[in-house]
Amino acid sequence: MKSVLLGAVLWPSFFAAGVATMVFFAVVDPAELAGITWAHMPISRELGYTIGFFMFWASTLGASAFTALLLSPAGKRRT
Amino acid sequence: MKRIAALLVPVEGESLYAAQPKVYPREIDGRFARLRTSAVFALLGVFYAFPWLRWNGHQAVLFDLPARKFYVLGLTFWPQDFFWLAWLLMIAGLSLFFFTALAGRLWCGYACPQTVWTEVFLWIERLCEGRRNQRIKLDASAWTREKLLRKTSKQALWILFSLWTGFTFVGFFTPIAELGRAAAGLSLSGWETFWIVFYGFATYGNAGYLREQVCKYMCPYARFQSAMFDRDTLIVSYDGARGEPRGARRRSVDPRALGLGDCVDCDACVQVCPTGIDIRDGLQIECIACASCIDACDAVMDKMGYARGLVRYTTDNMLGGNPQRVLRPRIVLYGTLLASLVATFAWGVAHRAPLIVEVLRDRNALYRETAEGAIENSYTLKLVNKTDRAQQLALATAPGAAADIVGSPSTTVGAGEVANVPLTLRAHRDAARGMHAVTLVVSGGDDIRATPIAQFFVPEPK
Repeated sequence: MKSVLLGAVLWPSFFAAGVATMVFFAVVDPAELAGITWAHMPISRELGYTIGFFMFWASTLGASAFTALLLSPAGKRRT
Repeated sequence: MKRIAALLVPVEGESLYAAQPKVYPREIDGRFARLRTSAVFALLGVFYAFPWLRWNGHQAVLFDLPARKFYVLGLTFWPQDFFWLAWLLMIAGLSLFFFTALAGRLWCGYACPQTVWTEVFLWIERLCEGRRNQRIKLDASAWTREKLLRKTSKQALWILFSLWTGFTFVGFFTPIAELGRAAAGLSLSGWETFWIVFYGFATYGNAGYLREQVCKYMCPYARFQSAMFDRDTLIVSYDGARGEPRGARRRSVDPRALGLGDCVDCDACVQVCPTGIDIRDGLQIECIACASCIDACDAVMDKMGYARGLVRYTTDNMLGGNPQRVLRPRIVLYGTLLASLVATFAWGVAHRAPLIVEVLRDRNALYRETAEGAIENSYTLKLVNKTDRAQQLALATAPGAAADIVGSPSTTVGAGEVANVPLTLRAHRDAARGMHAVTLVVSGGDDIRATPIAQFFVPEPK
């Protein structure tokens, strides 16, 4: 049960993060983004995409997990 | 409207994710099974073959993320064309609506990657472990040398096929010929290895183990498809009026004499079902409309000498004896929208601008005054040449502009390249103060022309 709930949180958040990454990086070039943020650090485009994706996934995962927590029946939460 | 009092009762101990008994779909041959097999070959054929095709010296389909360029056959897509990618997704979504309203879950039964890859994994399973009854027996039996051998060979084939799938997937993003050489020489980069294993593992888990659970618990389409259904949508359905009361009987006996319907209650439809349901219980959310039960039932009906179609593709209206309507407002609406989206997409992609020019103002100084008292503004021009030839580009201002270009800059931008060119504009003596929109004309061969607008600032006279 717990593992499937984990799947129900992981999978939609993964999907949403994928879409968000696609939309975001279609407009923003990670190389230019690196230039205006941490210009002193060597960030390649591949690394930029990866950081972006995992950042989005962390956000969507947090939101999905929060929702799952709020929807779990109050009486059962401690079991 | 009649109100019905309802009370929401929490169900104790029952979970949406209850452990399910393992489904052993029985092998089946028939019209629809053959249709699905051809769909498997066509779709997976496209997937596995496309990265290897070449087009004008580059990979025919390559989503080159590091270079931010997508090659699809003869077309090259740039980040600026993302709009059309979103448009394409809208077309895909609306197609799903259209075909679902018209013919039910065609997608699920024949085209969904989950179905298609599961089919291949089932073939491998059958090859190693035999037919349905043999598989059930094998799983129930103790671990013998033969069981170990059969299970190991299945796993080996599954893993090999999964890795090949992951490799092909990454081949859509990295030139696959180089990727193949790197894989052969065991010199894949970290991210390539990660994504090959990640995608391979996803295929292995989804098609090997999760199977129908994905359709039942993870697929959002299964949950909202009913919104697109109406009484004229094609569904797989059991003809209860003809089949009931069901019961076993000899082939030679007239079922009417026994008071029986046409269903011989052989359970063939249940055994072949990949999601493990009984189609005779009516339309269910688990049904992916793969039509295996139709094939199974038709074969039994043939054997019994009854007419085919006890389980068949039909509609709610036809089952109820009502006339069938194909053209209904929903279909016309979806169809019209879909056609206009496709037409706009084709026109838009064919008429994409070959040259993109962006004018970026110098962020440090709004204007500059020369020794002679003339006002100058500085810019950087970002030129994107989206053609497959190098372009010699000349810059000019449109007639009647409030400012002129200093010098006579021209530049050459290589095929598919981006160039940054500094540009200075100088105001005419009589230019009024304030912001002016100055239209620039960037032109090259092949009728390439862009007219970006530069914002030009003239300060108050001192």
